[in-house]
Amino acid sequence: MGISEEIRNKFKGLTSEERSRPATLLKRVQAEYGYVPEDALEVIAGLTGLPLSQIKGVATFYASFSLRPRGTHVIQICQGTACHVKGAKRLKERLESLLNTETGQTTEDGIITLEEVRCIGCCNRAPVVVVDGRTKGRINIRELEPLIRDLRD
Amino acid sequence: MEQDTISAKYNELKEKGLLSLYPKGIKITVGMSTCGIVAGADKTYETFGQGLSDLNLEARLTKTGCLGLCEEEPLVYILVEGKGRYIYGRIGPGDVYALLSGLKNKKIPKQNLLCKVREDKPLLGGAVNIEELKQGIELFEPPGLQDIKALPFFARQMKIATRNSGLIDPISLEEYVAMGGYEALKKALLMDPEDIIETVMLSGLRGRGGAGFPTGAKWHLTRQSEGKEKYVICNADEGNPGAYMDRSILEGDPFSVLEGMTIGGYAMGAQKGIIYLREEYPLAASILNEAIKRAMDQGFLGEHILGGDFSFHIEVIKGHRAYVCGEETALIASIEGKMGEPRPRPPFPTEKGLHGRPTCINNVQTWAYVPPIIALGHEWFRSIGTEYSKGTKVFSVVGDVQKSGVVEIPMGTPIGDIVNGICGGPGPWGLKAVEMGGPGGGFLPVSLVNMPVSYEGLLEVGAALGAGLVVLGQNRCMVDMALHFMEFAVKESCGKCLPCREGTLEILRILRDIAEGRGVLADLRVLEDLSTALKYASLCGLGQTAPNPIMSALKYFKEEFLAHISHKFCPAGVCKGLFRVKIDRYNCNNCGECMIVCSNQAISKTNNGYDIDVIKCNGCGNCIYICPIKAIKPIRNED
Repeated sequence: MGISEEIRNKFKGLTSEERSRPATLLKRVQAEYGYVPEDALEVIAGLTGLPLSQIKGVATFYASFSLRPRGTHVIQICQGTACHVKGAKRLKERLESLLNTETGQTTEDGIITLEEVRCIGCCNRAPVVVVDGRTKGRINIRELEPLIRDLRD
Repeated sequence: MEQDTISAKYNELKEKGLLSLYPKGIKITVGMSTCGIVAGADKTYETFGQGLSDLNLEARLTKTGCLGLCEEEPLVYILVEGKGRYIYGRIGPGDVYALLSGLKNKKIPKQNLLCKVREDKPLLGGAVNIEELKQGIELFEPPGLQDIKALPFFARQMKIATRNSGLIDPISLEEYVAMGGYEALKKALLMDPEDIIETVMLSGLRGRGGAGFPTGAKWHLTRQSEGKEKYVICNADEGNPGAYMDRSILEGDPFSVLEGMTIGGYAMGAQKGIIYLREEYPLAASILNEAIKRAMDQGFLGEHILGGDFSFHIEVIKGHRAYVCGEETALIASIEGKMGEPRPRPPFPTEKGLHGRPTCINNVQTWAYVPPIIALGHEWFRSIGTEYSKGTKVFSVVGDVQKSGVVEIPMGTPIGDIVNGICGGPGPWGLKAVEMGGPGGGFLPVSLVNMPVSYEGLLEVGAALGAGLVVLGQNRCMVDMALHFMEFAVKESCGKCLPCREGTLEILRILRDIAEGRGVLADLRVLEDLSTALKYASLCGLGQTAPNPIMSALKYFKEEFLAHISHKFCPAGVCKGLFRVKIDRYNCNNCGECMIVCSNQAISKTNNGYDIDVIKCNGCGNCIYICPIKAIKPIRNED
């Protein structure tokens, strides 16, 4: 079964109100696959009756949605003001050099995706990183190397 | 429902609530807001569960929200019948057994004990003197315990919007009612809707999102607008980086927001409320949904509220990570499932909002103020604050500050009192500035830090009220801070209007030039021109206010920009390449941290301490940042 058909099956029995919110449908696809496959955009366009351009517009407008597959693990580094003050940029650069990848990209082996988030509201624990959905506060630059090693093991 | 039946229902809930707030024996409560959990409160909670059964100790174990003293998380509250409530800070799983064995041995352990609460004074209910509450159990209490009111962190605070946070179980409707909750709704439903709006108007309440529009006036406009279907929306898209007070309220006292919205819905003739919550707050979402369910079960939400004619539903809708969606027209577009692009106003949402219907959008804090204003009256609220800014304001205070957290102070409190008095000051580096208002706000230099908190005063100096306070120490670079906010604006600009889309990019390019040593003096003039263009020509608040931090930094810290441009020197030692580092051997304690964090292995250990290879050093500044005793200093490249 192709992805299009799979998604179409999942969306059977949606109420008309649910159909009218493309962003909600995109979120469900993302929760299922970890990203929004290209095919899903067309399925959602069909379901909502909106032009594909508009669906793609929504999918690229919001930072929530990723149109590319992500790695097995996702490290999100907070770049909010409190984290910035506490050296988040240094942490970001360190992570980029340790992973040999840029923010927003996945490592060559497909294991770790490095992303940045604007602020997750844990400012008193700055600087914070979110590893696979779990927030770690007061991260010291020295903790990054073991953290990555643990994820790779 | 007859008034008698309603009273009986309230009494029953209240009784249950008081029993769970002040049970017999010992009650152990763990602060389980997001900030608590990130500090490890979930493991602490688990360990308490295990420990109670291991040690065969009888006690109730419960959860609460955020007391505001986030620095000391995980916070643990031990309520001992007839003795008081003892607040412990930084309780990790490793501290749990020592605490429990102390209690088992009839002692109040002293380790990590911050203070004692002898009396709770609920804003909307009677005082509860815990010491005299009941017979009590005999436990030895260490002498000379500080009362919570004597702690500088709490002494100057006045809790209205955060009245229940850290005190009640956030999802316990009974405990909320026991603290005087839903009294305001009961009162409001007997009032004429116009009178409710009049009360809110007279209270002087203004929008706590930052713009400061009079709440009563907004309600009046929404009520006046024609249309059978109307909406009230709670703007919980707290997108300002470095601020989390709305999250703290939503996670700590969701019913106060629900009650405020329900009163608003009744006053404006709306049938539906929506809480537009940012996706980054999953815990707040689950707490809100649970609270909505429980309020519906008890008839405080849904069809025929309290048995009357008024029906009102509230739904939580999550955002998808876009800062611009905090702007009201973009927020509406986002709820409709579209791209969150703002549209020109008028028409204002009060006239044509969600699905083209009249819509009133207020911030989380604003809604939380509604129940106390209705319950205690507009005169009470008016009596707090300054001439044009009434009531209190909740801030999160973070950055270079000793006791970061969430504080609520009366309007008119000097900002310096918050930073130095309540939050313990900026720490070893000393204060450089306080950032207020997020990406649309500005910086207050030390010379202005004692100005009082108010809409009018802050506007005058180029800061704003909407976000939290970020305290900056002397070791922070203002060019770098300006750059940070412009990077934010570029990434969050929706791209619809040209001034914001292109203007922010151009400002960012110039700031990067300055931060990387390519700046020229003429850049400062261009920055000013671009900022003015953005301010007047952008479509929405994001673009209009995006240049504010840059203007503010230029106004108060021009010499720092000049140092970057003329001397290619970053005095704070932040901007890469614009400084060299020097280890002060006399003060160095040889801890070796600098060698470990050096990004180019330029630091080595010699017989005389640590040495920096100036050729290998790439000027990343990691060593300055990590040095615990400030023994590594930035110096000019040519020095």
